[in-house]
Amino acid sequence: MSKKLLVLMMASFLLLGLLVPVTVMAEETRDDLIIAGTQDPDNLDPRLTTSEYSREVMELVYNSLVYLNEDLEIEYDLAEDLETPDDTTYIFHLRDDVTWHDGEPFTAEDVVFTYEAIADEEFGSPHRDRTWFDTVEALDDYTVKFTTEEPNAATLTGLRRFIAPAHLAPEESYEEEPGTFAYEPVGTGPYTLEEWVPDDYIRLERNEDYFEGPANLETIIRRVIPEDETRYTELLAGEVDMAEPPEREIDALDQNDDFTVESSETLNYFPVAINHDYDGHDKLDDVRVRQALNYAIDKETIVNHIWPTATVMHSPIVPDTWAHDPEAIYQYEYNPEKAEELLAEAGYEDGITLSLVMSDATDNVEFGEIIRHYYEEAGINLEVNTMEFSSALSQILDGDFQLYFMGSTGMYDPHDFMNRFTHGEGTTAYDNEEFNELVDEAVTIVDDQDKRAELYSEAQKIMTEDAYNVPLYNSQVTMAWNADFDFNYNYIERYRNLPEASWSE
Amino acid sequence: MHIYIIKRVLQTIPVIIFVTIITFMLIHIAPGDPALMRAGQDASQEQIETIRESMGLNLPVHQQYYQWMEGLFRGDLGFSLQDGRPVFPTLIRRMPATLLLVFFSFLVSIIIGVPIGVLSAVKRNSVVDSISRILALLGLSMPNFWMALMLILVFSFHFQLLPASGSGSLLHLIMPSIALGLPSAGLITRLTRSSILEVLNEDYIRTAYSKGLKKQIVIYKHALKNALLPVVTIIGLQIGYRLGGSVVIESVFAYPGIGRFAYRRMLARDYPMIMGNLLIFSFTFIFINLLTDILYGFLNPRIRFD
Repeated sequence: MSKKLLVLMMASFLLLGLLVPVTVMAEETRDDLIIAGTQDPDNLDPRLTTSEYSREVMELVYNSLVYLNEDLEIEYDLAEDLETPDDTTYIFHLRDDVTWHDGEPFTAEDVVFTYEAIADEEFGSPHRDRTWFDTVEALDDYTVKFTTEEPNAATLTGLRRFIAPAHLAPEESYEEEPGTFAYEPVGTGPYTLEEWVPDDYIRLERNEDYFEGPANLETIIRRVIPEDETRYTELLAGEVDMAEPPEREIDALDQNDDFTVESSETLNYFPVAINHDYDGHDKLDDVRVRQALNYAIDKETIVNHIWPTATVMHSPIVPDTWAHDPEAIYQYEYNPEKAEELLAEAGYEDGITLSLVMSDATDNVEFGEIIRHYYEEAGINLEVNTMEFSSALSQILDGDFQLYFMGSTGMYDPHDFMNRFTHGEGTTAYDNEEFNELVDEAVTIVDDQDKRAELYSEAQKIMTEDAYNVPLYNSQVTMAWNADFDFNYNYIERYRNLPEASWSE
Repeated sequence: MHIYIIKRVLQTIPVIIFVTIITFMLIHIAPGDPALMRAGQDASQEQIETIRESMGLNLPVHQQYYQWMEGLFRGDLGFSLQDGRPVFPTLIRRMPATLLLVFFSFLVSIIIGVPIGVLSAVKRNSVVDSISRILALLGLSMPNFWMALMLILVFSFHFQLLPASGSGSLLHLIMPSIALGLPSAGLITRLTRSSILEVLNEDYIRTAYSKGLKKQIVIYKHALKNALLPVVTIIGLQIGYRLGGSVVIESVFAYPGIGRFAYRRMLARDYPMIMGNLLIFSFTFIFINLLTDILYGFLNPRIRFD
């Protein structure tokens, strides 16, 4: 009896094998690419998302007026030329040979439409606080004028948003009958979105009428594989051509001739942030307490242990960018005795209790355990509250925290991060008269980067000596792809260079 | 029989109503603010309020429930908060992949569980019995995500025999089905073993033996048929467990079913999608159980007249 079932079992497995489609070995050069992403985009309306996963797709579907290259310099995309008659006016001359994927011509109206939505408080765009201009108007079909009240050095980099079509994208972010634009986007880019099966894959097809000429690859498929090990296995097995490998596998992959591995600096900043305006207490008002928080931990050791590819930071300015000044920054070395002394001076000989809010990501939990131990040594009793990401974010935005641990992303201009510490307006409510003046002045200098850098140096000196936060690290990302695929990748431009990439013969 | 079926169908109505209320309440008690998720990290309080209003999240809870139920009767479960996709068609599209996975996982459980269970009952207290009982216990206590990772390690990583993710061919289904089905094979082994042992003491088995029938025929034709009744029930009940398990398994294998999708949307606090998904899972569960009960009524006539 059991023999019969065993035979049945084996037969069914054999049958399964027969039903599997036979893979034909490709003789010709491939013209498709399979990318494995870690998450699905949240939505693809460029005015409504700040998700990095959305950006990976939007870089291929949309265009922007300008974008930043590898060296963070401005490059034209939909713009052909830029006039700046004075320090507060930007006149863009647009390409007149661009059409939307549905055949409609791209005009200045689309630019005005996109930026008006972003600037509109009612619309609720997450880009609003990082885009600096006062008015936008179309001078004619292919000319757009932006003005600012004061000269602002960050305005131009802020105008890197993807442009949405005025004739298709919804005017309000949440209308009675939600449109389909957010998941059936229409852009001007080198690829059109043909199919999006949420949390499975996105299929992009070449736009034959692309204004820069059609791309090399005909089809790009972006699969979502959230599990690190699965994604890595699929990359090794050749089921996907490009993926972000798990951090601990990077060395092994680097030794493997079948893959090209590229690690890049990001524009992120991860601090333990201090609330300078915490209700009903004055502990964190005392600079000695804030300095003690900095002296009490061994940043190098912690960062190297948990985030081995990351770089330790001592100010919010990303290392190796033009405004970063290691000379001016006060770097707190690990010194638990000093931390204890400072606390005693501040009147906390018997210890101090503080609380930390953060999301429950795996590395955060590990970080929480380690930092708690360090602080305990220095007489700081740290209560660590980890919670689901949106709950943590909500508590942080409500100002309901003493310390928090969460990253900031995208410092394309130093002002992107520095303005978060001025006039008590940022999440940490840091408000330092001298610092405010320097940052406010720096952003108005539009034509002299050295002069601007000097002011930021001074600002970095002031904020670090004042122990504004406990700066921690700047992360790295690594991308790996099939060595037969020629791709000029860098983290800033990312998939913008994919249209020129191709499989070697 | 008709009365029995009608009675069973009517019994499901309060269950369904209860499920909708529970579904609705659970989501609203959970922490986390979807308006905030949408607005992003740098949004101001005003922006968040505006978004909250336009999403209808500012209404009292009972009004939100009423609106939702109204839509439910029209077959309209609303639109995703995350991307504006219509809830019902988006979810239903992913359902077949999950049902296929669940079906194959049952195939795995039964093909492995039943023969071992029978063997272990027939050779009670032998070495074979001990080994199969240990195996069953092992299967039951092994977490399915661990099993999934081990399968990937062996069959995709080392031997590169099976694809580690995705769908499209039966090859893609092998590892996910095993990972989802193997733990329950242990359960089915134990269940089959105990119910066969029970049945073997029945009078009709003794009668069959005394008629001079071969042992194999007695066990196959007479014992197994009756012993499988509880197994059928457990399969009905297991549907819920399998749908739940699919969340993990689909995530590990990046399998495009409804489970992984539900999980992602849960992290994003996409309320309409989560509610739609819970409803579809619960209704599937209720429906399969109803079907099992009715089937059982056919298989075992005594049940109809209770």
